[in-house]
Amino acid sequence: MQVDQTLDCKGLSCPMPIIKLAKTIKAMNSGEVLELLGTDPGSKTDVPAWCEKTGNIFLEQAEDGGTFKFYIKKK
Amino acid sequence: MFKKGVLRELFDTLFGKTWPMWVGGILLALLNILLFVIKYPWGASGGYVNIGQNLFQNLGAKSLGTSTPISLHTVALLNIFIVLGAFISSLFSKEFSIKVAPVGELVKGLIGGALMGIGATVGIGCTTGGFFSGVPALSGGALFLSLGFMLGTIVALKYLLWEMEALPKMSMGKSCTLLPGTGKKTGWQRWLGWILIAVVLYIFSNYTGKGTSLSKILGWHVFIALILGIILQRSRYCIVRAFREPFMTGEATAPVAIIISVLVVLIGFTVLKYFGVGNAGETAIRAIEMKSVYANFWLSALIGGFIFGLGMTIAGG
Repeated sequence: MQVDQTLDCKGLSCPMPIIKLAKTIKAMNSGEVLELLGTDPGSKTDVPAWCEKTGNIFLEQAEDGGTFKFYIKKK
Repeated sequence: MFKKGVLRELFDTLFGKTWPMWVGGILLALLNILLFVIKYPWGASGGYVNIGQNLFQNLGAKSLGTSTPISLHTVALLNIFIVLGAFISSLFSKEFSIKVAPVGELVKGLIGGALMGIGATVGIGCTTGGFFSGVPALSGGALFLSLGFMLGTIVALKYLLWEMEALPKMSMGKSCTLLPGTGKKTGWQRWLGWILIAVVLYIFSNYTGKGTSLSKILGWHVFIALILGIILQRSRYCIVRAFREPFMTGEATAPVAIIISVLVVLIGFTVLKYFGVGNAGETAIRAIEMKSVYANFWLSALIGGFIFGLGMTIAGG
């Protein structure tokens, strides 16, 4: 998967990851993929829900040593 | 022999996945009703006031007067053992980790926490006692407190958006993970969890074994707090989210979960009040407890709620 941009939200607690996500996605071009890194367990439900709400495509999520990775494609 | 671990499978199901928030909401609602049967609806800020008073007295501030020792204060015990219960639950789920947020976030946490403390004192209540117990008890002040929370949340979200544009460094910088939650060597987490469960049950039996009515009440608060903590951790039941999401993501899971649980508590409390159920030993005291309405109507509740709402959103839950 080609990642166009990475947003590091490690150490941030809710609601900051979602606020940053919204802002970053806004500045991206349609079809580009954003990788979001975070440590807040709340993001696991927040990020997919936010994507569904905003129409962006939630590609997948992974976990690596306590860091969550989310891949989102801008609609 | 059991077929390989029916109990183990149940345990893994309970602690392997996050519970839906509404399940947590209903369970918490039932326990809140139970607390009201025993003594008084679930609250939190009163306990922190007690812990704070004890702390400052030990530091030599005599002017605060004498306060109840923490070990005899139901709400303070609830707070302590809820945190312990959530800790045990995260150990069972092998989710326990220690992370340090960027400095800017730590500062915001501190400021948000301080605002929450001020708001809870001014408004006499927080999201637990003032909202989750106060609204179902149909306390007029609770409605204004909730309105204040909502206004505070909106303003704080606006601030966070502004901060990101104007002070982007605030939420960046070094963050580190001292102890990763997931990984290979996490077997010790469950063992530590079981040891802590044993400790809490020992404390519980110590209280109830004393036989006086107060110590029994305190003991059951310890036990219920343990369960509350586990449910809170597993379902990530978060009242802040319910106030925040409508203005942020437009998502409704958290608000719906909270509305369901408030309705369950409402029915429970109403039945309790209607029949006057509970520890009838001291009728006069019980009659006051039964009202469960605070003297924060309406301006102090509104202002306190607003300050608390600001704090809870800035601190991030």
